[in-house]
Amino acid sequence: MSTSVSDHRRMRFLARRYLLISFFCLIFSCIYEAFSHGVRSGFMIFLFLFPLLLGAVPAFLMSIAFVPVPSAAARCFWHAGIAALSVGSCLSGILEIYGTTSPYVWIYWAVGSLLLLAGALRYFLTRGSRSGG
Amino acid sequence: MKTRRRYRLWGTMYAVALILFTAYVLLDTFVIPRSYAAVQDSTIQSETSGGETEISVSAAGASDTSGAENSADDSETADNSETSGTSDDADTGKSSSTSAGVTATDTSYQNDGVSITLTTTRYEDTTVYVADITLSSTEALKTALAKDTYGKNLTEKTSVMAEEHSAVLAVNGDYYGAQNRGYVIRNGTLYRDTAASSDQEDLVIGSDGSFSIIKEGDVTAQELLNEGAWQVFSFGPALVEDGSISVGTDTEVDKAKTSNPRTAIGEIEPLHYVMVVADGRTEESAGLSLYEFAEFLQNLGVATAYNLDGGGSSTMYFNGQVINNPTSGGDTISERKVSDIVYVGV
Repeated sequence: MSTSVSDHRRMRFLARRYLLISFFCLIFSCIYEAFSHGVRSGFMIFLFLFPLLLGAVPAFLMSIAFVPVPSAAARCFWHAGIAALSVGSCLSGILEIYGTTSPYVWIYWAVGSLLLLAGALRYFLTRGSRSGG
Repeated sequence: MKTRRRYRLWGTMYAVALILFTAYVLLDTFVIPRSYAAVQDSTIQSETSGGETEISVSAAGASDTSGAENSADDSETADNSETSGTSDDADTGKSSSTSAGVTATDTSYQNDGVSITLTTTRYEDTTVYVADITLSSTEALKTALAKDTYGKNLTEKTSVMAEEHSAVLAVNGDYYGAQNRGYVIRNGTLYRDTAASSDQEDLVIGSDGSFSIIKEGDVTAQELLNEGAWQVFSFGPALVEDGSISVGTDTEVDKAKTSNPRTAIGEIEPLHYVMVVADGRTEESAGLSLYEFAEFLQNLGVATAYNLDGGGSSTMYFNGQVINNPTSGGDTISERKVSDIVYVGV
């Protein structure tokens, strides 16, 4: 696995994109909470942290540090994991604010975590080989 | 290039799957109706015919709805909602009718076994409706499930259920259908025996009409049924116990921290009850915190009072019309469909 200027540029672009998604999540949370008649949900309030901490921050660090960037497959798993966790958090917030529950919400946490784990494993186990994407 | 296309395709398929699954979860939670069988019925056992189990209907509901057509539709309910703003007229108790031992006005109802007086007051910038109920027997204090069926996403407006069951007075119940856990016993039938949490406070109305507060961690639903529980509500919290306020100034339902519409039921003394609804979320009526609501109920002299589902669900129906201003869909005045009601029937 090697690093190149284009790889780092790609990471910077990814960081910006996740920052934008985080901002969108923050705005969405604020609007949703504003209309929730004072009912607060941590899942909704901190929704923006998933794309920020799991997406924007790692991508930004990779763009400035001399570390190998993840392969396309690893990134695919990682993005899918962030998506599952973010949607799960948003859904949990909606249900909590409404005052109800769903037996399916755990699936988001489980699938999201597994995908993140798969992405991380893929990254660390294939650091020696460069793949395209 | 081929690899990139493959990952892009995988990403697209994953996104579609995530969207479809989320849509299903939302539909399952809020839309798709499901009916469930009762766990145990102490009054009417589930009837099995042709290999299918018919879900038992509440004892009170079964007797009330026999021969009665469901003549109430949404448009009629809308009319009722519109009349809810005429509390001034209601205060005067203008119209009255007397038939077969029944005396009814806009603010009172009386027959041989039921006496109800309705008052509307202002408390902490909030309009509060109080129905003072005196019964000669516990049979008149009943509950009903939407569509007379226990299940999920089975809802009807409080006023519609009240009309279906010939209720004189009704308020929304605990909206058991919004939860997957928490004891549900209605009219002597055990519908759900899974505890919400060990700290969950429930209101138990015994077959003798007495009110008591229990924690689901301390007793099973089956034990409650065996001990004679006739109704069990799993919402809460308890507002007043033994005449003392049992909530703190910062206690709230789940994560709510502000004033809201509220519904409560309380017992002053044996066979003497109150049903109370506070309007909220409007310029005219701010709504109450749980502590303020508990204070109000304590001032009414209740020994035990319990908070039922509030917010947009808070609805009081009396003598054929919705008398408060329910705010479903934010601060819009309209009546929300709920899972269940508590009512006084004749």
